[in-house]
Amino acid sequence: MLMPKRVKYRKTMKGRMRGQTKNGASFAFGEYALKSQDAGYVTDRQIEAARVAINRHMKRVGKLWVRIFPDKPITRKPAEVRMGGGKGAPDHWAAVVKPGRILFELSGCPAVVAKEAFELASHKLPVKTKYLSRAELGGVS
Amino acid sequence: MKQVPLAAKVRTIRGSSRTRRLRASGFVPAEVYGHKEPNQSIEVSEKDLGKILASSRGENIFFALEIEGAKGEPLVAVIKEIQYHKVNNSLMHADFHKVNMKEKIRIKIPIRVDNADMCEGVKLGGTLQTFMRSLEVHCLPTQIPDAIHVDALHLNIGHSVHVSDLILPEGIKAVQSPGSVVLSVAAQMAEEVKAEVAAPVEGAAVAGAPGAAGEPEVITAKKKEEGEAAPAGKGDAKAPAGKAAAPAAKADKK
Repeated sequence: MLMPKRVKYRKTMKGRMRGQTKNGASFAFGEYALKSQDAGYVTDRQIEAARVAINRHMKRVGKLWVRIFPDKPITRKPAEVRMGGGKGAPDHWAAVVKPGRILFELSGCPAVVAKEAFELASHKLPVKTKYLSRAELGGVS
Repeated sequence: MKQVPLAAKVRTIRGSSRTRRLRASGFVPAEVYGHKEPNQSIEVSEKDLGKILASSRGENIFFALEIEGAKGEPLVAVIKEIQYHKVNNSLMHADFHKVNMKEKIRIKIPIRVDNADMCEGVKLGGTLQTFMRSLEVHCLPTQIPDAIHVDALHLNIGHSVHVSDLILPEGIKAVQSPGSVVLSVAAQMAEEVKAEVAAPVEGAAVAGAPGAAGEPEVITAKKKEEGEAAPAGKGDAKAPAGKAAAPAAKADKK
């Protein structure tokens, strides 16, 4: 599973997910992309599950880029513990995704295959997504 | 390069909320500039501009801007920049740059890869990677080609095409450095699970991989330990147990 090598602090504050994505809204590498339409936390497990689903469908043809990285530690308190007593222990990692963020990019495969692969990947993700192709957006960018 | 007429109106609307209303009514705010003349704010139909851009396939087009109420011939311009909405990809704003047919301009030309499916490296199991989708060139507006074609037929695994390898028409000069890679054929990934997780993202650790702990290294925690150890180490060699010693001292006081 993806996680940072080193961090400044073990735990972070929850924060709020307001507005649209600041960066990562346009194509950078591939021909096809999966764009988020919602805000949410995409966990390391979900990223991995989506990645595996895409690669399985592609049968190792083409190239995949993961455009998000789970760099936010999410804490959990143990079960059946009363409130208080400080913040819980880090449980997993998540990427903060806002509307407009490109999650995955693909190239080297037909558009139909890419669309099917992204459809499978979207089932593993907690956010609403949209398929994009560079050609449909007017070619070069 | 083809020339397409586009109707435009002078825009007096300013400010975000009014512009939002303008967009809702089916128009795109735009700006025309160039040749040391003052900027002109205009608005164009989103439907018309969208249609032209969708049919262009990324190729450059000369727009003959017919501005309502303006005297003389239509303004000839090229698109300098287009802004799309981050979420729904609708047109947000367009920048038009006035063109003088006798003056050289800098413009981006799309690069088209021919025989991508027939590429030798792809047949052997490699992946054709495109690093540059457009090339910025310096030329006269009359010399602008629709696209620059690159033949990928004889590219093998590990081979690449650089800007210096591109065959440019006469009078056209590339702005980018000659050593920049346009496309290359990469070998297929051997082990998808192990290799691909770490490859695309820098600074990533794979949990469960040898050497990777369950939790990452905490930078600030390390600094604190060092800070505590340094002053204690001056006087006493057995000081690293500073934390353990502190509670004992408290107990003595009680």
